[in-house]
Parts: sequence; structure tokens; C-alpha cells
Amino acid sequence: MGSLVAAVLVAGLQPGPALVAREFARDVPIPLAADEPWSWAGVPDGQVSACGVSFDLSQSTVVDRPVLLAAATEAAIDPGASVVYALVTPAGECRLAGVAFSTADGPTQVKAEDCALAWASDPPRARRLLVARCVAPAGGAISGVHPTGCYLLALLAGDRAAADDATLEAAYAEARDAWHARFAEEAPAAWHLSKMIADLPDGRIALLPPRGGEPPVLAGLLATTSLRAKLSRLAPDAFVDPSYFGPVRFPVSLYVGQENYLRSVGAPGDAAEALRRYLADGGRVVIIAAGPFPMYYAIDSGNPVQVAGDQFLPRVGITLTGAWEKPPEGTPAMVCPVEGQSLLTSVTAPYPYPTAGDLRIRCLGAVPGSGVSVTPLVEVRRGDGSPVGLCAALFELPPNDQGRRGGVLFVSSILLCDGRVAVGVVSDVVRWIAERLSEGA
Amino acid sequence: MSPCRGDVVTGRIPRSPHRHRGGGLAAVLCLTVALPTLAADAVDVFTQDFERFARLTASSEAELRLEGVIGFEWLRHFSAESYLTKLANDPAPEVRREVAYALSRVGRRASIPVLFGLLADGDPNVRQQAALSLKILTQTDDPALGGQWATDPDAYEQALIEGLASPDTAQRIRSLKGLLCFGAEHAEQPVLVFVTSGNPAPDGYQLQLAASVLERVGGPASLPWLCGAAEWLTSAAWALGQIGGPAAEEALLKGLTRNGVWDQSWAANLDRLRSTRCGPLVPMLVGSYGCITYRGQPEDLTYDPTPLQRLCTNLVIRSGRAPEVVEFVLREMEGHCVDDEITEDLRPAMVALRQELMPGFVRNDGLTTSQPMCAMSQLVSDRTLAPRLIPLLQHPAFVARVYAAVALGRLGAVEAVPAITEVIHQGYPFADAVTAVSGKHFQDSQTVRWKGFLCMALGRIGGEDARLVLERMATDPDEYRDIRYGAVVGLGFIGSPESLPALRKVAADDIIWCTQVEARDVAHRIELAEKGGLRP
Repeated sequence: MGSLVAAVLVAGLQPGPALVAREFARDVPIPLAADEPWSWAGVPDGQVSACGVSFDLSQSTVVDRPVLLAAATEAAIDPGASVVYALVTPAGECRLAGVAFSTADGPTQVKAEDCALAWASDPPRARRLLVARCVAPAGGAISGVHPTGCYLLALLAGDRAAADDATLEAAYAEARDAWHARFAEEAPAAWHLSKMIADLPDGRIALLPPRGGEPPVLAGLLATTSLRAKLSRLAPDAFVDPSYFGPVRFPVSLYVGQENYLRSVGAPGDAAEALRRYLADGGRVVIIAAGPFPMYYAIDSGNPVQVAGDQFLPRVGITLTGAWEKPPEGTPAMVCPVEGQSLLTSVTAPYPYPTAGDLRIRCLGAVPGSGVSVTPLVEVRRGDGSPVGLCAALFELPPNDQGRRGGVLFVSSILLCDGRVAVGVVSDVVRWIAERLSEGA
Repeated sequence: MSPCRGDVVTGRIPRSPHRHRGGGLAAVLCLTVALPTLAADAVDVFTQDFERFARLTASSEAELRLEGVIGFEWLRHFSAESYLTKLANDPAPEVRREVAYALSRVGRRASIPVLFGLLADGDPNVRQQAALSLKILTQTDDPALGGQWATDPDAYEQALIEGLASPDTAQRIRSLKGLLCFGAEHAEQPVLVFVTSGNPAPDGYQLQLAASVLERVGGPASLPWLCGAAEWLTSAAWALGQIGGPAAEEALLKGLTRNGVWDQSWAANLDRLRSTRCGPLVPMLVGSYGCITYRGQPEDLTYDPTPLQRLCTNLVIRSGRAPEVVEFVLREMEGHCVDDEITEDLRPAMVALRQELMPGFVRNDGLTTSQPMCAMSQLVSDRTLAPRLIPLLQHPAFVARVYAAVALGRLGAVEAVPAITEVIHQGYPFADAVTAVSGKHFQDSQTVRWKGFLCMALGRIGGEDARLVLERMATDPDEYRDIRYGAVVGLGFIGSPESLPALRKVAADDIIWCTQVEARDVAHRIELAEKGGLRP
């Protein structure tokens, strides 16, 4: 490796690849002091090598404090280069960092996870130096490097020979793969969840009307992942159209209607009937709303009034089995995974019931004699151990004529709005959805 | 003259035309003015504002010229006269009318012929205002008839000076008001005689007016009396700021110590004198920043820093204690401040701050102790602190996250954009619909909306990354309403014409009225700044 580094650093080497350090405006000082826990203390002063290339890092002092000078905004590559290596360091969480390389075809993004690791410090600082590599399309050139969520420390630019050099490419790929594995190991659950969502097929999950009750964790996923592209938002007309809304097209549907459900669109009760029909035909509805009592209020198109007293879920054999406005005083209530359940695997042990936020709970169960089978997942217990009811459960309807069973996966707002478990629970739900979609594929 | 001549310095410029005359124009300033520099030799707030209004009066856009005139009108400093008289023939009648009004506040002898000319203006509103202003400046009942003030101003000045000897209160007041316009250097001595040995002794109002006259005509000879009076007369503070010198600074320090900042005359004039001696007053200055947790004052972040905040920032920085304040506040936010290590005079504020740094804390008693965080967010200037601030975006207390983001905005830390965006996307522990319907659980912290402030901080950071994120948030109907609103405000801080399509979409489509209005306002300000040549 050392000989390779030496070889590529010899500018003007003929013939063969040539990588040359490029200068750029460095106006951001990065702290290096050992007594500052937020600093990059320990970063090499001199050469940093990784993936077959080597960068020069030279430390400076600003007002008698050791710093590295870096850029936080775009650095121009002028003249353009066929290949560019950028040495960067994330300013905060690693997964939020990335580098965009400007080419004539538009920016090429290299996320932190697709870089190569050049240096790392131990926790609590856990600073990283990463190398991002970008090769310009044939005949094109890279004209700029734009760091996002990170500082740009050094640049190497190369000609077409360097861009096409197989040894350099292989060295980067090897280092990138090694870093990717470590990155995935260190990454938080939210990153893994976003990967899972990216693998879902497009357009096969229906988002039922009405909306507006997305729990925070779902709102965050809609904003930060590709989940939005995976969902088909059903307009009321499409919802009641049996030729469009059915389990073949949409094996899974999401309910995020807070506590409302759409009862009528064109004729009295036609929307409620459409949902009942969907379930009877084998569709699965995932209740993942921020309100405690899903599908409690009926909504009729053209009428702003929420109608109480005509819940939807009893129509398919699911009913209320327990409720409170807040847990009783005294010994804290507990949220307990049901032994043996294999769906919400992230809830591994009992934990105290939330003490802040919306503490209302409505527990659901099957109507006796309805033929609905219940797989309990998570339950709430009072301080004395007595059960309150299920705050997560899978309800499976009786088989229809074709032997297909519709289902309702209910996850209470108590789980979805609790930052301690929300990401894990939603990851479990997404995994379950992915399995259902693959069944129908 | 009002005790608070520097109304721009003593109060917030209104933003919406719905709230105050001409206020919508004032908001242009938010787009065009860089935040005050944090260097120890920072330009004083008075000069910043004066120069800002001067630039506006030279704009090609009538709306912006009007803005500049109104600014001078509130600044009430006689140096603005030449900028105003230049606009007496402005093609826009609303500008000419405002010029006529502003001259009634700052006009001196050179304004008289200008106003006299406006009596023949084609616009009746201009004519009426010119007549009223002449009446105020000349202290005569019917200026259209002319008089000694028109034919021989020196003789009229002498008559006014003689009026000071009158025992009649009304005559004395007329003389003092007249001298504001006609008084020249040789009026100084008679005014000093009046304030020191007038018979009967002048009352407080007469002394306020006299100090204002001395601001315009006084010199070192006036200092002994003004220094004594400055502890209790706001207009004397302004006179000292005009005359300057070590004695003036000393007197202003006494005034600030005695009166605090709630009338900003002392702080503003210490700032004008570039005082470096406010170190002992830093705890008081830090406590004067206000905070969003004080009865929910989102204006602290929706608008540019208030004049009071800017004054405090300048004075603390020049005292050399800004790094100390920033360090102690950051330590508190990080949760590892040791009482004994805090400078004694700052300790009470830091200890009080701890209560509001507790997770889920929501103030409900009309008080706040978070001012040091607000101060930190405006005093911070060390760019190496950005990596230290980024983890504080995940602080258990919302208010700490907000001010960490604002501080990053102050530093222009573009590297923090993804981290701030991430916090915004983490959502609230409640659905937007929960509080929309019934106001349930009003008493719980779950209903507190604070992420819009982070959008505003993104706007302060600026740059393409922030702009694109804010445009997406502003136009996404699935975002929480405060995030949409905050994103629109943030786009206003960036002020890029490239945001206009997004802003017009919000103005047309957003379901929340105030978000629509803000988007329209921001789009208008961007267009205006473009046309007026005021973009940086």
C-alpha cells in the first residue's frame, strides 16, 4: 500500500495516474485542544492515508489554540478533474454527513456511509475522518466539492488515468466496504429503518383517508426517508371504488386518521363498507395513529362534524376492552411484551408506562363469537400486575370464501408516541409489512 | 421633544402594515441588514441604524425611500435633515408627505424653506403636513403668513432666547421648542443659564427640552450640567452621547447603573461612545435580553434582534466579558457547570437558568430565567464552538435546543444544517390534529411548538442547503403548521429570489392564514429588495 501511495503522489508521473493536492479557501477552524471534549484531539498532524491515497493535514493555531483549518462550503475544483478524493470529517452525527461533487450532469452525492475511513477516535469524541471519491463521467470533469454536515479538510484531484486506474478503484472499494460494515454496526436504529423502507416496493401500501394523525415517528420517516414514495394516498373516490381499492393492488393499508374514519363519500356508509370489504377480501390494515382510539369518530364527506357512537372496528369484530385517561396513582403501570410474540421484537422487556404526553389508552380485543383471532403483542399492566389490556395486537378475521384472511395490526399511540420505543416498534411494523408485501409478490 | 428621541433604538420597528403605519416596509430591514459584527470595535447601534436609513432613502424604490424616511423620523436625530430635504421633491407624494412629517422632528433652519416650498405641493396631504410641521418648528400659529423666523432667523433665535426669561411656562416651552430648530451655537450659554438659574426654576419638562436643545447646540461647556442631569434626564443622556468625552461616559454609566436598560437612552449613548466600561453591569445586561419563554414571545426570533439586544451585545462585547458569558452558559447547557467556577456576579443568573434546562420544563408563571441563553446566542462569535453547539440540539429542554440553533445561526455554521433538519424531522410527541380539534391537554408540555424556531435558525445560517430544506418544509402540507410558518420566516432571512416560487405557492395554498400572509410579505420584501438594489 505504501508504494502505491508514493506512486500516486508523484505529480506528473508519466505515464500513469496523477493525483495532486488542490488548495481551497479554509475559513473554519476546527478545535483540536485535548481539554475540549467536543474537539478533534488526536487527529494526525501530517499525512493521513487511506484507500490508496494520502492527504496532507497541517495543524494551525488561532489565538494560541490548536486548530485544523477547513471549509464548510463548496470548494471549487478549477481546472476540473476526472477524479477527486475529498477528506472530510462529520460535524455531528456521521450518518448526517455527505459530500456532493459537482459535474456537468449535476451533483453526485456520496453519503458518509459510502466513504472510506481514514482515521477514527474513541468515544466520547468518536470523531471520524472520511474519504469520499468521485469519478467524473467519461469526457466530463468535476468542478466543485460541497460538504454537507461535515468539514472539508483536503482535496486530491486526478486526471483520466487516475480515474480509470483499477488499482485505485479497488483500493477505494475495499476500504469503503470495510467502513460500510463498521458504519452499519455503529448506526442508530433510525438508519437501519430507513434502509428497510428503501427496500419496500413502490405504490403497494395504501394510505387511507382521512389523514392528519400521523405519530411523530411516522411524520419523521415521511420527511427523511423514501416512505412517502412507497405510499399511495387514496382519494375518497378511489377509496370507495372496488375496482381500484382492494388487497390485490394494495396488500397493506395504513390508517393514520387520529381517531376518525371515513364513513360515507357518495352514498351513506359506502366508505365504511369499502374498508369492511377490503378486510373481508384479505387486506391488512395497520393502525399506526397518534390518537388513542382509532376509527372512533365517523366522518361523512361534506359534513365537518365528527359523529360519535358509530365506531368502525366493531363492524369487523374488534372492540374496546380497557381504557383509562391516565394511569392510576401509586405503583407505576408497566408496558409489557407478551411472552413468545415474534412481531414487535424490539420490545424485549417490560418498561414503565409513560408519564408525560397523552396518557390516554384504549385497549382493543376481539368481539366474542366474531371468529376474529387475536395474537397479543404488548399489554399494559397496572402496578399490581393486573392486566389493563392490549396496546399492540394482530387481529385476523375469519377466512373468506377463498380462504383469505384479512387482518388488523393495531399499535397503540402509547407505543408510537414514546421516544423510548417508537423507532424500534415502527421498524418491526415495517418488517411485518415487507413480509406481507413479499407474500403477495 | 419626546424623552426617547431614538425610538428606533428604544423600540422594535413594526413589521406588518396591518399593525402599524408604514410597518410593512420596515421589515425590509430584516432582509438587507447584516447582523451587527461581534468585533470589539463593533459599530454602535445608532450609527448602524442611521446608515441603514440613509441607504434606504437613496433607493430607487419609493417604498424603500419611505421606509428610510420613517426610520429617520423615529430616530429623531438632526443629522438626518440633509437626507430628508433631498427627498422634498420626490416623485412619490407619500414620500414627500412623510418627509414633511419627519422634518417636524429633526428639522433645523435648512428645513424651513423646504417646508415652505411644500406648502405649494400638488398633493393636499403634503401641503397639510408641511403647514403642521412649520407650525411645530417655528412655534407660530400660522406659518403660511411668514414672519421674522422667515425673514431674519438670527433675530428670531434671539427672540426665542429672550423668551426663556419669561415667567410664563407656555412662553418658555415655545422658546425651547423653537430653539430646537433655530438655535445655534451661541444659544448654548443662555440655555445653560436658564437651566441653572432660571427664575422660576424650570420644571422637568422644560429641562428635558433644554437638554435636547443642548444636544443640538451644546459643547464641552454644557457637560457639567448635562453630566449631573443625565442620571435622571433621558434627553441629557442623548446630549452626552452627542458631545462625548470621558465625563460624558462616566455620567452615562451612572445613569445606566441607576436606571437600567428599560429606557435605553443610557445604554444607547454608552454604545455611541463605544464604552468599554460596562463590565460590572454585564449581569444586568445579560438579564435584559428577553426570551421566547417569557410569556411566549416568538418575536424574539421571528424578527431581527431588538435594539435593546443589540445594545446589550455591543456593550458586553466591548467590556471583554462576552467569552466568559458564553462559556458559563454553554457549561450550564451541557450540565456540568460548577458553582464555584462561575464568576460571582454571574452566578445567580446561571443558577436560575438551571430550572429551565430541566427536561420538559414549561414556564407558566409569566417569568423566565432563560435570558442568559438568549444572550449567549447573540454573543457567540467563536467559530470553533459550532461542534460544541451541535450536540445541544438534542438537549432534553426545548428552549436549549432553540437557542443552540440560534447560536449556530449566528455563527453561520452551515455544517449544522443536517443536524438541525434532523431535529425538526423528529416530530412532536403529538399529532398536529390533537390540538387543532379541541385544545385537549392544553396544560401539558406536549402542546408546545418550538420547531418553527429551528427553521428560523436555518434561515439565519443561510446558504443553499438551508434554503432548499426550508422551501421543502414551507411547501409541504404534511408538515406541522409551525414548521411551515417558521420555514417561511427563515426563507425571509435568506432573502433569495429563488425562493419566490415556493413562497408564492405557500401564499396561495397554505391552509393557515398567518402562514399565507407571512409568505406574501416575505415574497414582497424579496422582490422589493431586488428592485431597490439593496441585496448584499
